Amino acid sequence: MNSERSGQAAVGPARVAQGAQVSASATGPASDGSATTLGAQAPSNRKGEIELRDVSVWYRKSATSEMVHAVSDVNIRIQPGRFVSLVGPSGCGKTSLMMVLAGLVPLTSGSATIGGEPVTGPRPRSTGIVFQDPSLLPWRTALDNVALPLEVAKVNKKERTERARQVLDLVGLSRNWQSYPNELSGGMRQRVALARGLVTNPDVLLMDEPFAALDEQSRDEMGAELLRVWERLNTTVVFITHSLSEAIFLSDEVIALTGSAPGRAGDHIEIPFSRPRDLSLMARPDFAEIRGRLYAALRPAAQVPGGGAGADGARPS
Amino acid sequence: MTATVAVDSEGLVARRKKTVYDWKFVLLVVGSAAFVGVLWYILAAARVLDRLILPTPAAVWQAGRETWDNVLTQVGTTLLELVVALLIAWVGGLAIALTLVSTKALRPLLGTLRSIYAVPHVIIYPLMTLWFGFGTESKVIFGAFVGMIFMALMSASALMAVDQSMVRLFRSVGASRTLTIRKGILPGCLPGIFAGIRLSASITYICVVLGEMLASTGGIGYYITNAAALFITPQIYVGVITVLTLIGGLHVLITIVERSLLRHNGVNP
Repeated sequence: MNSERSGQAAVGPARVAQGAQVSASATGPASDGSATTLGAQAPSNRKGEIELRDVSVWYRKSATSEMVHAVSDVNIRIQPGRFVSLVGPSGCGKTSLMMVLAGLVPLTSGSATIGGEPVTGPRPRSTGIVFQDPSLLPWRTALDNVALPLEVAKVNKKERTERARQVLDLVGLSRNWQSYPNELSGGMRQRVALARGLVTNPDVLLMDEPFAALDEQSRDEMGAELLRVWERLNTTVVFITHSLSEAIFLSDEVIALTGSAPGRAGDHIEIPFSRPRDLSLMARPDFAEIRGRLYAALRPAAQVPGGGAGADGARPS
Repeated sequence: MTATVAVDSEGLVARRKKTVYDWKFVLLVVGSAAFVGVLWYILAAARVLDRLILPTPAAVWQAGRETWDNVLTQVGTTLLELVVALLIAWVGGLAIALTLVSTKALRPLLGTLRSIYAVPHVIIYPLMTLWFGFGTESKVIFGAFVGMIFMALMSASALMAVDQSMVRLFRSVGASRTLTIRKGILPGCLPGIFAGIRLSASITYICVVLGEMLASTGGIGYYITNAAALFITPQIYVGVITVLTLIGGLHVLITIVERSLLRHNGVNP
């Protein structure tokens, strides 16, 4: 998919520094000049900005009633319109952080804001979510699944159908809008879930390992497809993944979470590759070099050449 | 009665046209009925058993024609009792299940319901006749009571097995609790609820006919008991065939509704 794309710039240490500056200047994704009406308006200054300050999360396991310290003192700041991945081992609190941002899990201490407003509960109008499991309702067609957030928001049927068709078209499912989930492949179901996440034209899209259940090839293709869609929008994306390659390929910045119950925010690594990107990027030596740095950052005690030690504690971006 | 599959040009989408019954299923039912009929005819013709015990199909047909008006009247009584009892059982059972599952403090009552259900139902019928008489009311209340407990237990199981990721999805899009139940949990539980509807229909029907047979003034059960008391064997067979036809028809109706509501399932009953 998108294999005709080209134009990656040569990357070295100087480019890394430049990438870091871009990160700080709240610049959105590179425009290819073909933005659709979806999300066409420019974000206001803080719209889509995410800030986690001294965040700690404890929760009670429903099965055993045991208290679990999921994350501790996490500080993360994400500029509007950026694509940021959170990577880390199982149990490091990636999903807990996403649930906090989604307003589905309360904070134990610290603060979480989106667009400068504290997150106190789900904000479906401004935050779209794509879960690891597509969570499609099997009795609804692709169109009706996508339109669900608008239906809950009491948008009239004509408008929500039109909007859902637009987003399905955007994710490449214009022909399958009448299909039920059991008639779609795994990748197509995840596209429907992506369309549902985007249907309210959110400022922030939270994605929790959305392609984890797909085979490697489908996963790479879905990643490229996601970038194609995102490059038309002004949405800030927080993408959770186990795959370092996926994180590097997709993101402007990758945040390594270290430790386990509680997890902590470690290194923030700027990804300097220009956009649009294509899958051949993964074969480049500089891609492998960044992957090596990221891998080292996930090992807390390791010395990381050129990237600093895996930090103990938080480091705001 | 056929199922067809269409694959789109990408080869990724297979759409199955659903029908109420697969033709193989219909063939199996019709074939089984024909087999039993032929076997019955051969056994009766060969006089393996006394004609008084096993009359010929022709004698049963004759008995049916002679008492046709009476059969129709009794079927009308049974159907009236059944429909009222089923409506109470289904609606009441679902309401009980929703209340018990959604209120944690009341959930232990599900165990009480299971215990009540384990008691042989028929022992309460004499009390029903004492309280409500020999007429329609005692059959309706007996059938509705037993059916409602079963419907509540089945629906509660379906509700408690609901996919939590779906509930999380509804929360994430800002849906209220009522909307989550109406648009998510109930449709998601429909296969389980329909299993409850189907099985409680059978149990309610058994209770209604049993009630008519034990103590009543009308209904198809009364027709059978009356024929047995007078030793008019062909009429007993007419009654039995009528009872089987009614339950078969009820199941076909439930299947039609189920198939139209669960089109996404793609599974034949």
